[in-house]
Amino acid sequence: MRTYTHALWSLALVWAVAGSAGAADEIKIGLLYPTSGIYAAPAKQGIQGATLAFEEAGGQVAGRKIVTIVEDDEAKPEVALAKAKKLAESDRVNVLMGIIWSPNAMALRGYLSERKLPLVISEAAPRPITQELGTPYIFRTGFASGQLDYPFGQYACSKLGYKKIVVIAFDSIFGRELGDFIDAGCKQAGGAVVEKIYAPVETADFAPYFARIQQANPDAVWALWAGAAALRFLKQYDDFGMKQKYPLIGHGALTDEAVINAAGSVAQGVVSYYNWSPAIDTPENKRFVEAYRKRWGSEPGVYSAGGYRAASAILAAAKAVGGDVANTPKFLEALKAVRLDIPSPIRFDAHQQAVHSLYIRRVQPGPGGKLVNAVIGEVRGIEQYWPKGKPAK
Amino acid sequence: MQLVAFQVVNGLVYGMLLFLLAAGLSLIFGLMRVLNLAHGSFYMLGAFIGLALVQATGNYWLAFFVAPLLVALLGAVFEILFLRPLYRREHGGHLDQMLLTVGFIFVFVDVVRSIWGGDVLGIPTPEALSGAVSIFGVFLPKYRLFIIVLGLALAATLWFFIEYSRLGAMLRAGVDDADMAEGLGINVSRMFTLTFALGVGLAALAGVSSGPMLGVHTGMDLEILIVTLIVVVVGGMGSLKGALIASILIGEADTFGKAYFPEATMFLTYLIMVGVLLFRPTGLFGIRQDA
Amino acid sequence: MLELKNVHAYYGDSHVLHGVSLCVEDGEVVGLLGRNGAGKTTTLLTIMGYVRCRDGSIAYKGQRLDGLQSYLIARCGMGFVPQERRIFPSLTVRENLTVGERRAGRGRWRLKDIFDIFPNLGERQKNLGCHLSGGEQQMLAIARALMLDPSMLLLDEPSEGLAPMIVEKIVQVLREVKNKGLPILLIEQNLGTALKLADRHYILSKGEICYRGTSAELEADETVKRQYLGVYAGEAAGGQGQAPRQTTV
Ligand SMILES: Nc1ncnc2c1ncn2[C@@H]1O[C@H](COP(=O)(O)OP(=O)(O)OP(=O)(O)O)[C@@H](O)[C@H]1O
Ligand SMILES: [Mg+2]
Repeated sequence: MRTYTHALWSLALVWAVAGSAGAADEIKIGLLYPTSGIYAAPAKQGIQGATLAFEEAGGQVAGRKIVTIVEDDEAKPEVALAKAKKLAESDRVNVLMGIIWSPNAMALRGYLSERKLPLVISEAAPRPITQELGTPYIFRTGFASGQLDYPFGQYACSKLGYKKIVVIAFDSIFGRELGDFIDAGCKQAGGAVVEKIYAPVETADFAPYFARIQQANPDAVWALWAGAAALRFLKQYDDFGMKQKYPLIGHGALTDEAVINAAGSVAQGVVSYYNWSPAIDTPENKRFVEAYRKRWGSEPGVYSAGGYRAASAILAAAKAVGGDVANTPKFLEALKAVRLDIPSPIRFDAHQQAVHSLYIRRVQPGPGGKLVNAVIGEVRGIEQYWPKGKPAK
Repeated sequence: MQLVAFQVVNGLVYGMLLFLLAAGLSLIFGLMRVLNLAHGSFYMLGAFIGLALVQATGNYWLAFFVAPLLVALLGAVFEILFLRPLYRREHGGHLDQMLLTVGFIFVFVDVVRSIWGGDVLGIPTPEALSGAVSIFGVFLPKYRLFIIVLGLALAATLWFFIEYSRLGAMLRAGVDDADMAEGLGINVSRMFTLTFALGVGLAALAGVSSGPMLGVHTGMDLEILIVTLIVVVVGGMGSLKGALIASILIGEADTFGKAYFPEATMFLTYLIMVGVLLFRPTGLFGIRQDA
Repeated sequence: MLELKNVHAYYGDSHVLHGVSLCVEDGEVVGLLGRNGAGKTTTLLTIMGYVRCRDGSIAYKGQRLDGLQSYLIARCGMGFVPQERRIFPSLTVRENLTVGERRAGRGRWRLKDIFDIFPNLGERQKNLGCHLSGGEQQMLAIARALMLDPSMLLLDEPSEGLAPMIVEKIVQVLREVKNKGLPILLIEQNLGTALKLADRHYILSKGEICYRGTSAELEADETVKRQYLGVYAGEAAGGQGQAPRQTTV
């Protein structure tokens, strides 16, 4: 047993030395995504988006080869931390990207600061991480929770005319926060959320909650469900004839391209919002959509755009430092200055949170009859939303 | 009032799905003393095989009948290959069997994931049952009503089969005392295989029929397994009547709980379980403690 | 007809039968006697295949039984009546009778005949097995074995724990069975009952056959009776109704 342990230690040592030797001329990027479980489909999109960005760069920056290592964080904080440690310590990555499940981002925060390892979050949206709990090492190309929702709450009330809204979301910090943000946005515009329903994230059957919606009799129902749950929700909402009575609006995840393709007609007419839609009619976006389609033979979804965006930010910063990503302070400085136009415009605010455009989309048949998230409204320069007010800097 | 009726029907739909699973699990346990923890996996297999059949033929009803048969066949092979060698172990190999079925949860999920991937897929609702009907002002999808009819019809069929057919009597004899049944010339190991096949076939039927309602994905096995186990514990191991009543009870509790105490839904379910176990340790209709 | 040769059987590591040899010929009733724990039940369970015959052989009508599964042994014609009766509690009396029946309506005993022999089973045919009295359960256990149309009966202490009147009834029924030419291997602790029914006897002690003889020989042999059966001269024959012990198979 002892010799066995010794052998293991020596092996680990050799590995570590070899690893650090390799790090000198390669740019190693760790991709943390929940590739199994209910987020498997979004994770796949994210990884494909990122891979496309790296490939478009020719797989190198300033002559240094890009090496990516994908790990499954299983949408569990403890797994995310273990996998981050593995990526940092045995794979010796220079930067991490990805993360869909919010608690995972929080779980990594301490470790990343300690290890001085940069992370570009592509999706996970916990607010504090780019607000009161911000660290120099964490950037977010995705949105912070509330960033899109508060303005959408206003939009739904003032532009869409829904004054009485029921919120139905999966029960998590994220889901509850978003419900509150919609509420806050509505109130600001003179409407109200009359009922908030938070159901378990693995809910298979929504029928029991429909009774409460009927009881509240709202102008519209705002929903937040993703992946598997979104598909079921849309199907059941339609099965029960709810869609005719209570128009369905919701977070972009609800009408993700993968979801509406699988859901078909039951998704038609749903209005959602996000920082992107494949149907955005700009040359930059069209270029991205075309390239993605060509590379992967499937339509890009919001997570594809998210992965692409995070990877592009890393590439841009790496280019700015001439490939010397191992020099972390320089690399972080370069990241702060990154501005992207593809697939949609972003820049970072002073807290390393991306400033986005808000796109209001409606599910409807696009050219060729396939359902798309057609853009029906746009609000530019959306900064992250600080419910308690931004601290004086 | 209409909302209550609406919830009662929804609870019944869920209860019927649970019944199809619990009946099989309970029968298998009652006869074979095997707690088949892979039961949810057979449910999932039923759904995925059903999905594949729908995709290949475009015919839901073909999938509805053929998928459970295929899974039943698979169950028979599974029982013969993996469970049978364990019966002769000490204490009937019950612990080994349980561990084996746990292992197969992972095997099945990996197999399914490698074929169909991790995405959530849907089985389209068959033409004849799509849309909804309004009964006394309560708006209900036809397909859900079909599930209720299916569940009740199967409960009646199973009850008739078990209570009145000779094979049913042999099955009950085996549940009471497998060794004595064998001593009367009953081929108990064949009964085991048949029961296992029947049980997992019912699970698969639940899977394929839940597809158009709840979707098909790799997490569905464990989602349903836990609730099914609770149902069987509440109803009493080995009792069909218990499985039916507990399924409806848990189905309704879950549905009403979700609507009126959303924070405590699972708590309500566990409360029922604990309550029943306190006053009737063998479940509502369990006749005997396991030896 | 049934022949055990040098049969050895174990429960786990404990060696219970040490080379038991016995035979039952056609039309014959053979008693298997011995004190508590002598191995009588084990012998029966070994014949039925519940306990493995690790050494020696068991043959019936020229066919080897050892190594066969119990249900096949039963199908060879063994009508097994276990010591604890083992009525199926959740089956009705009628179902208990018909559940193992392989030649429905063609056997020597049909449902009607059974209800003629045991009228109270007929009256209670819709009752559940678990609602029967001890005597009724014993009758049902015997009747259930007869319904299999067996070519031999294996009876384990049919009189154990029953009231004398019921024992009398059972003895009478078994006589009728015997008269129909059905061979019986009868385990008894009650010497009187055994002597009334059996033609020959074996006595088991500590897993070995220590005596064999006809009823007349046994009845006359006070030493054997005292040594192996605990019967003293003058005492009414044997079987002090001890609590039935569960024999798990
Ligand atoms: N399941 C068992 N496991 C271990 N030992 C057992 C088991 N059953 C019986 N024995 C032992 O085997 C021996 C023979 O038991 P058996 O039941 O054959 O005796 P018996 O002659 O039928 O006695 P009785 O008159 O009490 O029925 C006894 O010592 C008993 O303790
Ligand atoms: Mg005995």
